[in-house]
Amino acid sequence: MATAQKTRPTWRAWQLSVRAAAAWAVVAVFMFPLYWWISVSLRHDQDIFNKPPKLFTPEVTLKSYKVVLLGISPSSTSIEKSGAVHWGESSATFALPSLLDSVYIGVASTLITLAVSLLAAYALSRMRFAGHHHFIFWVLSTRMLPPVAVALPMFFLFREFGLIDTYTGAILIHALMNFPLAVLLLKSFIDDIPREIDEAAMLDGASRITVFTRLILPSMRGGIAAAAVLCFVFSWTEFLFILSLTQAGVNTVPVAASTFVTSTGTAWGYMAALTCAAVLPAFIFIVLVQKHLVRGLTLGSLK
Amino acid sequence: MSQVICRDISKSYAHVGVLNRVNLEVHEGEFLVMLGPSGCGKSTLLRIIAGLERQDGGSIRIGGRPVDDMHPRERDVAMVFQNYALYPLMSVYENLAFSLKIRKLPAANIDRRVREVAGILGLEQHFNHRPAQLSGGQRQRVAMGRAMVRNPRVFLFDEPLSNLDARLRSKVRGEIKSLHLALSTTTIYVTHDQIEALTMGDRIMVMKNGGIEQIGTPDEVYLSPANRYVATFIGSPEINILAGVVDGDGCVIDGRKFPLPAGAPTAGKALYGVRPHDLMLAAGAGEESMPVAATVEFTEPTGGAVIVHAALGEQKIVLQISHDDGRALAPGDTFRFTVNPRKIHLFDPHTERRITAE
Repeated sequence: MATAQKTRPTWRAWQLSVRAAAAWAVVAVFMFPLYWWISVSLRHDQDIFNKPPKLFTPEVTLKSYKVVLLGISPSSTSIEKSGAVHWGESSATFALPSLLDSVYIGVASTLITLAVSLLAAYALSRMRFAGHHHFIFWVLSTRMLPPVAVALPMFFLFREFGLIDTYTGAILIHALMNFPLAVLLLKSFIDDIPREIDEAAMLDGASRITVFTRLILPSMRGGIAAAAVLCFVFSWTEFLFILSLTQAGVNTVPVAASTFVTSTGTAWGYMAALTCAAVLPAFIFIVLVQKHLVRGLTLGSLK
Repeated sequence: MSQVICRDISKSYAHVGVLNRVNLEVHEGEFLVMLGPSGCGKSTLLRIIAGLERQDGGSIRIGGRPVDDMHPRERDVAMVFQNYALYPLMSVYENLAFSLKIRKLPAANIDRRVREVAGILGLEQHFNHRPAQLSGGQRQRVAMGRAMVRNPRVFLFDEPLSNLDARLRSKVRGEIKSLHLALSTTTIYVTHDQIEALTMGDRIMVMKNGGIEQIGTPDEVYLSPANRYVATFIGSPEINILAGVVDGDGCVIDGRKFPLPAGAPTAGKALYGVRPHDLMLAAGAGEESMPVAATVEFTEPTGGAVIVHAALGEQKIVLQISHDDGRALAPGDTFRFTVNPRKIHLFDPHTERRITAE
């Protein structure tokens, strides 16, 4: 009896530490590429392709960030001994505008998507009209094609409407792209709110608009936050539409990053610096809405 | 005036008929209970009266005015839902005040009215609580308060007690009834629980498959059910329905002769209905009361009474007798019982309608 009492806690502690170790191992596997990428962004060019690779950055430098975010000419930083790509002028590597474009397009397209899809989701969740089910199917069907198949016809459409290489066009295409997902996601959140709440409010004298603004919207802050995060991240990382529908006027981070791949070589350090810097705005956005992600999903009106 | 009149109300979903030309008149100040199994159309009828669904045919008048083209908010009815449907992010006070705020009443009036209703229901100490912080019974009271606060012409209840546990249910049942006595607002109450119907209703409307089987006072539907369905739906334990043949002065069931009520037919097949508590153990072998013999299959003690399941021949019969009488009976025992001849219900075996004239 005494031994059983003595061994049990140690066995339990051992079990817990194994579990924790396994969890940390999984986290490490997933975090390693991100670590490596950050590490690349902080290296001198000659340290990027060390043989054998060095796990830790030998000498930390902010050179790539300076070039990419501040527009300081690579040649003026006088580290040309690497023999990597030689950039003639700083404007080709100055990528801060693409970050700002990404923020602008991401925020604007998310706001538009949410505004439209909230109303659509409410209608699809609460109202019955002819072709209701087909409607949901057609909303979804726009996501059934691979984006490449959409990009080309979109290019011709945008050219007709003069939207090529405009912010309006970029925002519009991202809003359109996220619309089906946002509608379905938000609809499922509205579906979770008991329909009787709408009905009780209408019997209490409320109009549909009042029900929507006073009861539905406050009850689904968590759902709106989730949809906003997804829309923003999809816009933030979208490559193909921006590549095909814009030229020099509008330039988002994914497209700007791709320009570091050239016929003469790839500027890994600059690419890493730009994309690492691009993690931050998305991260801040998610942190801002995260507190709403957790709350708001608890409905006390149910049994 | 706030009577509710339904004329020929029909409704179907995807070509499946839910309501079939229902006619109903709920009197001013009456407590009417719609009783029926799930899917009989009772909730649909209630929602049509509220304006939450639109009927395919027929018309509804509330207080003498046709309301068919009115939005729910214009009908001046209040509804208490099965899941209460309280506004989750509002406090109890805000829940109660919501309808008055929407009507843009002066704040002082709203406050006075909310406090008045909360006083009746004992909710003042919960004013700042959210619905999630309340017990089931408290939520139920908030839901009722929300309905009462604006003095509607008609109260609609859609199975409001089914989410409460059994003890709370009988307590709230009493509260609803006493509220109705105090306010005497016209009330329509939907339930599938026959006890709720019998205890609360001024009149009960028994429904089946989208039609009305019988409308009457609790005594009427219990003591003279219009057909076999009403007889079996109301009363617990369920009424015995035995197939027999009327032969002169008695009804022969499994070779045993049961008594007949006054004015019964003298020949032909019949369904013989008698409630378990209208059967008594025979004291002696008196010829007038025609004692019938049966064999005990098993007994169920329920405290004050014993429910005896017995076999006649082919058919089974259930008796509800006093504990003192029933405790001596064991499975396999043969006993004799008598039938109260004034409590017999005869039904036509084909139409299943009542045939005793009473």
